[in-house]
Amino acid sequence: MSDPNPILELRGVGKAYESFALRDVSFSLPRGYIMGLIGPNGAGKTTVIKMILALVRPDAGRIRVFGLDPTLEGEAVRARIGFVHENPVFHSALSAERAAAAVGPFYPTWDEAAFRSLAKEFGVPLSGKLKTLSHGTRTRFALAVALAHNADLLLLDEPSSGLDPAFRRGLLDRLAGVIEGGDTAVLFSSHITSDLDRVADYITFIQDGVLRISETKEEVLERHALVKGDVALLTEATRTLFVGIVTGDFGFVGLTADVEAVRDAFDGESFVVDPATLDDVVFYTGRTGPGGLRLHDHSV
Amino acid sequence: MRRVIQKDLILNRNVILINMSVFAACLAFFAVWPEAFSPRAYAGFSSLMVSFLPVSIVTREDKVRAMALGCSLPVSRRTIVKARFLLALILAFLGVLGAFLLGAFVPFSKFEVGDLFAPGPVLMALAGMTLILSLLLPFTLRFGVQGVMIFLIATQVLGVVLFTTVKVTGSVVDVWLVDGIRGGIARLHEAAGPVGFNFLLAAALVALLWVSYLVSARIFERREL
Repeated sequence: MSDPNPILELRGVGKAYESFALRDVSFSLPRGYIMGLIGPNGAGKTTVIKMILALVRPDAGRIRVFGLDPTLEGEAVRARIGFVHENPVFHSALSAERAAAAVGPFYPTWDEAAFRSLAKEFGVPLSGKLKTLSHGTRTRFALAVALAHNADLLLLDEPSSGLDPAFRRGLLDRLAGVIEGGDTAVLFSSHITSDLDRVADYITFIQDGVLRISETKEEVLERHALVKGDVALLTEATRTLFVGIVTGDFGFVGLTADVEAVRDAFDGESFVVDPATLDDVVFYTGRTGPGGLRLHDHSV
Repeated sequence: MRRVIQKDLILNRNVILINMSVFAACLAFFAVWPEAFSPRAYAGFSSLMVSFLPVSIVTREDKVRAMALGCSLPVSRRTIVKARFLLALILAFLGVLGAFLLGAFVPFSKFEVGDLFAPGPVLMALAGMTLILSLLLPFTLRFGVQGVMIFLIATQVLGVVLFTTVKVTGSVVDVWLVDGIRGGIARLHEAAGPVGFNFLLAAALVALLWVSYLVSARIFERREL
């Protein structure tokens, strides 16, 4: 990520709560790209998005959005951000139309016609009260609002949860279209890694408040591989070659970030190397199996 | 700021209308009930009722967890607080005005226009409204609906404890306190004259509201959502 003026940049960001801490998170998102923010529940993804919106203050590090500090210049920053929160909460007794009428005027670039067109396309009944809509339809409404003011940065916190597969696919195509001009970027947190497989250019993986990976999707997929073999191959030394290992009666399956080192270490032995998916990366990183935990932080 | 007020009015239109209707019915009842209230008491009671309405807008936002949405919009937290105070004052002022008009003109009302639109009741209403808003809005903005409940319950519990303690110990501290306040006000009234006293009271209310706004803005800017 060599863009000297990324649309979003986090450097050494930390936030401590009583039972959870986000530590030293650094990544940047260039213009014209989609970044997938992945990690298990409670990993810190929502905290990162809230800090970008200045809903939460970081304890350490610095955040720059469009080169501005969102804590000090939040109004200017948020005017250019389209957001969808994990649980899109509006006053539920309102109709979608009135909720949009309350929110739209805040954006100088609000396009009422675009909102109506998006709402129609997304199947959001404008006159229906939000409380009568399903979670998925409320998310569609929030997406229509987020997309209706030509934002430069879209922050989407689990937007695809609750959406049916057909709509999800359409949404991903739309996001791909949004960045086509090269001025807009999307930060998209999701548990559904297949969505990110489809559209993400960059992957940032957070686990237990620690940044595990932040690089291009191609780099993540090229660097990681699944290795399957007999448990006897696992020694003190060879275990260190894996990011995570699951062992069982069948043998072991391990995720490595250094395939060549594994090939060298297991030279002459029987083992299989398969390409890893994003799902594998999330699943195996820090995985505890009957054979024990192998968890190694690797620099990004 | 206009957009924040507009948003709050759109989001809370029904709540405002329903509450205003209920308040109007209550106040009309008290206006025609001969033994109910003196003009000053009516003014104080109406200011108490209408001042809870703007507070309820904030508590409702907190209750439905829409505060994060409001603060994700391109507006500063300080502007949100400023807008909330302005809207609260407008609603409370219009509410009190409506209550006075209702009290003066509702059929069979025991009040004359001059009973309510006099310096005493007007100042009583302004003082009641300012005190409630100044005390409750910072709590509401910081702690939400739970904060208001805790504040109100704690105030009542504290009152009961103090009253019980005073009665059990046979102390006259309550009498001393009330007499002290009453005496202080009387001395101030005498020293400053009616016009000067009203001016001082109005200045004190404005100062209280300003301090409340500064405290509210400070704590809301630091609130994590």
